[in-house]
Parts: sequence; structure tokens; C-alpha cells
Amino acid sequence: MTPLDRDPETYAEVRDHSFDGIQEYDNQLPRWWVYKFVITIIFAAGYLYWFHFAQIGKNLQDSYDFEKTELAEKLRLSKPPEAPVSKEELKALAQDPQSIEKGKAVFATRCASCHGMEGEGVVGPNLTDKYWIHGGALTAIVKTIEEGVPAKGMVPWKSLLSRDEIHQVAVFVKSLEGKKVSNPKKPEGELSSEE
Amino acid sequence: MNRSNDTVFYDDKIVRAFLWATMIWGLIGMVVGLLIAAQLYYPALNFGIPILSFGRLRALHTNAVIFAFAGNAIFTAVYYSTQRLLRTRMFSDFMGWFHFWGWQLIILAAALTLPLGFSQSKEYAELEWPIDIAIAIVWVVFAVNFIMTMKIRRERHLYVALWFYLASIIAIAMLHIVNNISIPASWLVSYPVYAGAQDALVQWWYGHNAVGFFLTTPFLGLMYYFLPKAANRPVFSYRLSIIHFWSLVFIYIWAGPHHLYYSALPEWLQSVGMVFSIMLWAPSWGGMLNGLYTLRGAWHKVREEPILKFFVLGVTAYGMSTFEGPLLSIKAVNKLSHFTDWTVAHVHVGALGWVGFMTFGMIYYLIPKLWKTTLYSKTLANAHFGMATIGIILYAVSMWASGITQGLMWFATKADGTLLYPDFMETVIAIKPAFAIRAIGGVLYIAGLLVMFYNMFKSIHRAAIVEPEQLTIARLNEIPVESEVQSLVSEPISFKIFLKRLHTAIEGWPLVFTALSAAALMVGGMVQIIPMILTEVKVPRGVSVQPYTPLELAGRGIYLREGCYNCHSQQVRPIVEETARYGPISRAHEYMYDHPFQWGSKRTGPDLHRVGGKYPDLWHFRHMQDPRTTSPESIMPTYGWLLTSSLDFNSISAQMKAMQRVGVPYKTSDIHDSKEKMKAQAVEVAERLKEQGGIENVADKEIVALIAYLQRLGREASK
Ligand code: HEC
Ligand code: HEC
Repeated sequence: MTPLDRDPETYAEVRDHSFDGIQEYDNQLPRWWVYKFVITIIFAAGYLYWFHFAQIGKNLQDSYDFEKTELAEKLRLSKPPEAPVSKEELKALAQDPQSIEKGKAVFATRCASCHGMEGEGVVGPNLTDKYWIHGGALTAIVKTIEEGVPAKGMVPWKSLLSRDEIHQVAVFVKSLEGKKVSNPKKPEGELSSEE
Repeated sequence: MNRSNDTVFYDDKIVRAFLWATMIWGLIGMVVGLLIAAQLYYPALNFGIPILSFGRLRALHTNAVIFAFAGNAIFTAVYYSTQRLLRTRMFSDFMGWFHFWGWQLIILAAALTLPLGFSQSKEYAELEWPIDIAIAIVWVVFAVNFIMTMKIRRERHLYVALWFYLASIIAIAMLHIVNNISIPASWLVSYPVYAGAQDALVQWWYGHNAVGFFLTTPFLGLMYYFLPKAANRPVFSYRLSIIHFWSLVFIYIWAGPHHLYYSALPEWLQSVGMVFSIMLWAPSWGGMLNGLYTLRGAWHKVREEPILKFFVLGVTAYGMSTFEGPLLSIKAVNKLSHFTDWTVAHVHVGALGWVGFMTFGMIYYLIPKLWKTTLYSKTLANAHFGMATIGIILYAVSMWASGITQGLMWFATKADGTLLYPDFMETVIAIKPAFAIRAIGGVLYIAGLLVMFYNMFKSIHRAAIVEPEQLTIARLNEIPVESEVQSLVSEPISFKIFLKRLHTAIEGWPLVFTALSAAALMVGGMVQIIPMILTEVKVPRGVSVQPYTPLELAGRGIYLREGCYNCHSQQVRPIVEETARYGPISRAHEYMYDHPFQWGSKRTGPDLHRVGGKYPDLWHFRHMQDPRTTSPESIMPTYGWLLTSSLDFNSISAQMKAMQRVGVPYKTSDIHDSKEKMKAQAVEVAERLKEQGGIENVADKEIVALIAYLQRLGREASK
């Protein structure tokens, strides 16, 4: 090892000892490094004091509850409770090819995994026949989609889809009624001719 | 006092053996990593073969790169530098070779058992109990060999590299043993004595410090020896070495709970974990500074010498990941980053950058020394450096982007407060391109390694036959302790200087040094773990948590075997966007019979804690058979074999007995007719499958047990 008995920049002395040729200077600790260390220690003490000893800061549960009520409040203010959708509105929507098209897109990503790409039924029932477990009227279909049948594995979609999306997918489902599909699941529920 | 001389031969044969093992296992571990990275882009790359499926191979990848690649690299460094720093051959050749072959056999056992699905299902501690015992034995032999070498040393004081080796050896022994205490149910199945939140705490105390004392401190030791050697420069600051060594080993141990924020772990533990993680920033950077500042005045050499290039980038990567670590430990940041690829990016900057590059630098340094030759080609070494660097950049940048993107998508809400991306798959599709880029980064990194292999073969090929080097070294003369103590207090000196002298004196007393570092290492773990073990889980009034039924337990065994925890968490955090997505917050009592806990650390797929009852049985059946039928574009592996392999009804009573021994309140009568109960429940599930979709003949197949377990998950919340 080249004898460098003083640090070229700080002129700190090299220690009078070497290990397998490795020498060591004994430079001062870099000041910024020391400050950083001290600051993190002070932060640590402060944090534990604030949240645990003095309990001024909110704990996880409280901040969750706080956020939750805040969110509920925001929802209440932004959206006054809506009247349930009427039969007439839905019927009008059912005549609108654009809405049906939008409903089809929702169906493909959200519903097809259980009802099949064509609505022929897989895990969920066949939606192309005229038999309905929970009623074949448009309003009944909307209700089934919104509230689901959790016990049977039909997801409640109310919190996952917007109101419009639910109406669109409902009219799409209704449009499937009577459609011929290649591999239909056997009918379930009762024959219904409601609209 | 007489000073006589000894003739000494350093044992380099064993160093060469460890070096080869490092290279070979490194290649294997990284190729497995590349395969599973590619599977996340093309799930079909597991070819439907159980032993190639993601959940099993991910464990093999992590174990191989940590214990086989990094492990052998550590041993290479320790065996080479300890002999030179203590000016003696290692204490026992036999122990050395026992260590070498024992370790390679352990790795071989891991490479066989993990793909076969024998797993404790705790991250980086997956190996089953007989292998754990073998690890403990080999480790103790290594420790004894190391400590006895200190005893026969011909150098009075221990150099800083040795402090780090010593602390690592003690810490790993302690972590490994405490985390793996379990009760076997058979030769290759066992359950940890800890359950739920307790198990989570112990596991992440282990998991975090495995990173600390397997991937950090030994490599700091490596740096302290090889970097000044290669640069031919004195180390920047002895004082800094002292301060950052002690603060690092003391503080590191406390940081484990930063893996468990917003979980059912008591909140004070989470906070303690956080503040200690933040305090860890400076001690970690102390190592980086001592490394980089040592190169002052030698930067021109860095431009020419590939060894130093690897070291500089390695140390820089260390600095980056030890800044990122404390950052990710801030609860508010962790809320976003946890469960995402951000964590994956973080570990790989450390693993590929710090561990990998320090190892490569060391190997390039050692090849000429160990084989008495010159490096075949500097150009190829530079090419290796370039490829690996670009590989790391692609890896890190793609995973940062992926992690942050997915985290933000999980939390994104519409104006009315509902989730913007309620469908989990949308958030997966968004990050698929990142998976592809990451894999390309991996290819480059491995290509670099192959170049290194070639360079190494060529260098060795032209080497002369290696004769052991004969050295003449003076023996250490005894200095009575009293006279050393006296010299500390003989003259009036400032407190600071006193401390420094005291430390220098302690460096000459290896046993005292060992005891002090063991003490520093133990405090954190004890303060956190003991209260946790002594307090009972609080069960809310009116709730009674039922242990798993025999069939559910068997299903859980399949979940563990397949390593589903590598992609799925079971932990709904108290965050509004998260409860909106998954359901009610997970509580500690829900996990009280979970040996081991399965909270997970990564959500490649959605959380499963509230999946029970979400879908009909038939959905799970089809989903496990081929996830793409129910979830187009899913990247979950297919599990076709669960539909055809027979369910094991015979070992359930042994498993329940083992569970009983770790504290699950099964009655003896439950165990007695467990087989019948299990069959009856299996028939129920099979009948539902038949009713829902005409599925026949599955009552004795594994799939029914897994479905029973999945449908049971999180049902405690509704009570
Ligand atoms: C996880 C599987 C699953 C998904 C996804 C799913 N469903 Fe269902 N669905 C079912 C099941 C199961 C039933 C039957 C419920 C019963 O038996 O009472 C059902 C029933 C229904 C019914 C009532 C049928 C009847 O006969 O009365 C409608 C309408 C329906 N689903 C629409 C949808 C729509 C629209 C979507 C997508 C937004 C959807 N489902 C997504 C499983 C699912
Ligand atoms: C490579 C990562 C990966 C592995 C390993 C994995 N999964 Fe998945 N899993 C996913 C992804 C991605 C999804 C989301 C898309 C889907 O439904 O397939 C998912 C979805 C699921 C779901 C549906 C959750 C929901 O709420 O919709 C279940 C149940 C599930 N996985 C169970 C398992 C089980 C059981 C195992 C082990 C046998 C397993 N997974 C292994 C990635 C994985």
C-alpha cells in the first residue's frame, strides 16, 4: 500500500496500524451526516410521543372512521338520494341502441365470467331464456344487479358500477331474452313475460 | 517476551470452491428468477407443470439467490479475508469443508423440496424443518470455525470487516432458530408455534433482518476488505466505522414491523418499526460514505479498473436502497407502495446492485489472486459491467413505474367516492408492459454473468498450477489485560479519546466483542417479541372463532403448498378505498388459529381475506382449472392438477394433532373422526359443484378441499 500518511484533503492522520496492508484514516464524522442522524432520532422520539404517549395524533382506527364519515358526508352532499329508476325511463333506454351497446361492453368485462360471453350461463344462470329466478321485468333486473344475491354468488354491483352503467347493462341483459345461443344452460326460475 | 515465527499456508482451495459455488448457484437462481418474471407476462410459460408454477418457483428463486448466491459469496469473502486479516489459516480445514459441502447439500435439498411444494410458507424461511436443522448445524460449525480462528490469530486487533462478519454470524443464528421453531406433522410438513399476528411479527423480524444480516452486513465486511485493497487507499474514517457499525447492528433489528403497517399487529409495534427504520438511514449511509470517500483521490483508477467500477456502483446502489428503505417505511408512503412492485424494485436495487456488484467486483479481484494468473480480458469485464448496469436500470425503472401506477389505480376514486378501477384485472393489465421490460432487464443481467463465466474460464485456463503460498508470520505475544486497561487510564484524556481507546482495546478481545454485539443484537427483538407472545389475542365479545374443519385445513395445506401467498394477501387494511374493494377490515382474532399466518406481502392478484362466499363454488372450480375462463387476461397460473390429483385423507389426523400441539383447540374426538368429517364435507362441496355445473366425480380430489378453504376465508367478520 502506498504510504499516504495524511488524508490528501483533510490532512487527517492515518492510524499507526495496518491490516493485511489496509490502512485507516481517522477522519472526523461528516457533520451533515451527524446532523441527519440526530434529526432522525429527534423525529423518532417526537413521533412516539405524539402518537403513543400523549396520544394526540389519531390512531389507525380513528383515522379510518374519520375518513369514512367524511366520505359519507361528501356523498350525501354531492348526491341527494335519487328516486328509484322508473319503468318508463328504462323502457326508453331499452329503445336506445347506444345504451345497449354500452351495456354490452360492461357485460363483457364484468358479467361474462359467470354468465358466459353470450349470456348463455356458466356459473350464473342463462340470461337468454325466458325464465327468471328474480323476475324478468326491467325494474326487477335492475334490482337484482344492484343488490345481487350474495348467498348464491351473484355480486351486488351497486358499489362497483355507476347508476348509468347498471341501467345500461340491465337493458342489455333484457335484450338477450329469446336470443339463440350455441350452448345454453338449462332454464332456471319461472317463465315470465313481463317487460 | 519471546516472539517466534510460524510458517503459515493460507487455505485458498476452499475459497476457490466457494467462489465456484457462488457463480454456479447465482446463475441458476437468476435463471429461475427470469423464468418467473416471464411467467407474469406469459402465464403459459409454466407449461401446466406443477413444479414450474409461479408460487413454488418464486420460493426457489428467493432462496437460491439469497442463501446460495449471496451465501456462497459471503463465505468466499469470509474465508479469503479472515485468514489474511488475522494472519492465520482457518482454525479447522475439516470444519471448513463440512461447512462447504453441508451448505451445498442444503441448497440441493432446497432445490428439490421447494418445487415439489414442501414449504413452511413463510417468506425466505420456506425450507422445511429437517433442512432447517441442517442449516442450524452447518451454521454453528461455521461460527465455531470463525471464532476459533480469532482465537489462533496473529493480529492483535480485529479489523472492521471482521466486526461485520461476526455480527452477521450471530444475528443469522438467532433469527433462523427463533423464526423456525415449529412442530412437525410429518417428515416434510410442520407448523410454526406462533399464530397469526404473532407469527407475522416473528416472521418479519426474521425477514427484514435476513436482508440486514445476510445481504447487508456481510457485504459491508466484504466492502471494507476488498474495496481499499482494490483501490489501494486507506479507509476514510475509523471513527465512522465504529459509530456506524454499532448503530447499524443495534437499530436494524427493530425495523421488522415496517412490513406490517395497517395490519392487525398492535399499533405501537408498527410505530416502533417505523421510527427505527427512519433512524436506520444515517447508520446505513455511514457505510456508503466510508466506501465512497475511501476512493477520494483514486477516481482516475475507477475509470480504468472494472473491479472498482463494480464496487462504486454497488456502494451507490446500497446508498440508494438504504435511502429508499426509510422512505418506504414512512406509513403514508407505505400505504401506497405496500403490496406493489415498488417493493420488488427496492429489493432488486439492493440485490442486483449492491449484493451482485460487490460480489462481481470481489470475484474479478480474486481470480488473478486465487489462480495466480491475470484476468483474460478487461474489455469483457467492462462489457459485463455495462450489460448488468443497463439490466438493473430497466429492472428498477419498470418496477417503480409498475408499483406506483398500480398503487395509484387501487386508490383512485370517482367524484362520488366509488372506486375508479373496481376490477382488479384493470390494474394488472396496466402494468403488463412493465413485466415485459423487467424480463428484458433480467436477460441483460444474466447475459453479463455469462460473459463473466467465459472470462473466468479463459483466465483460469491459462493459469499455472496453483501452489499454496508459504508465509512466515510472527506469533502474537501476550499482553496481560491489566496492562491494557491501565494504559487506558494512565494519562488524563478526553472522554471521546477514552472511548476510542477503549474500543480499540475491545477489538483485541474477540470474546468481549462477540458478547457485546450479541447484546446489541438481542435488545430489539426481545422488546418487540416478548410482549407480543405474552399477550393473548383479544376476541370481541360474542364472537367465537372456530378452528378450520379437517377439509378446510387440508385445503389450507394446498394453499401453502402452491405458494398462493406469493401473489395474494389475506389482510384488508383500514383504508377506505381498500374496504370498498375487499370488505371489512381484517382483525387480529380472525387469524388466531393461522399457523402459519398468510398475510402475504405482494398483491399480484387481489386480497383473498374476504373471498369466502364472494363466488359460487363452481366459479372457483373453473377459475382454478383455467383463470382465463373467468377472468380474461388473468396472469394467475392454471392449477389443472388440483382437479385430478387425489385428496389425501390419511394424514389429516396427524396434521390436526400437530395443530393441537401448537395450541389450536381441537378436541381429541374431533381428531378421532376427522377422516369421516373430511369426507362428508368433501361430498357436500362436490354435490354443490354437480348442482351448479354438472361436475362429476370430484369428491376425492384436491380441488374440493381448496374450495372449502377459500369459501371459509374471512367468514369471522360477518359474525
Ligand atoms: C361471480 C359470478 C357472477 C358474476 C360476475 C355476475 N353474476 Fe349475475 N348471477 C350469478 C349467479 C350465481 C346468479 C344466480 C342467483 C340465484 O340463483 O339466485 C346470478 C343471477 C343474475 C341475474 C338474475 C337472473 C335470474 O334468473 O333472475 C341477473 C339479471 C344477473 N345475474 C346479472 C348480472 C350482471 C348484469 C352481471 C354483471 C354486472 C352479473 N350478473 C355478474 C353470478 C354472477
Ligand atoms: C402469479 C400470481 C398468482 C398466483 C401464484 C395465484 N394467483 Fe390467484 N389471482 C391472481 C390474479 C392476477 C388474479 C386476478 C384475476 C383472476 O381472477 O384470475 C387472481 C385471482 C384469484 C382469485 C379471485 C379473487 C377475487 O376476489 O376475484 C382467487 C380466489 C385466487 N386467485 C386464488 C388463488 C389460489 C388459491 C392460488 C394458489 C393455488 C392462487 N390464486 C395463486 C394471481 C395469482
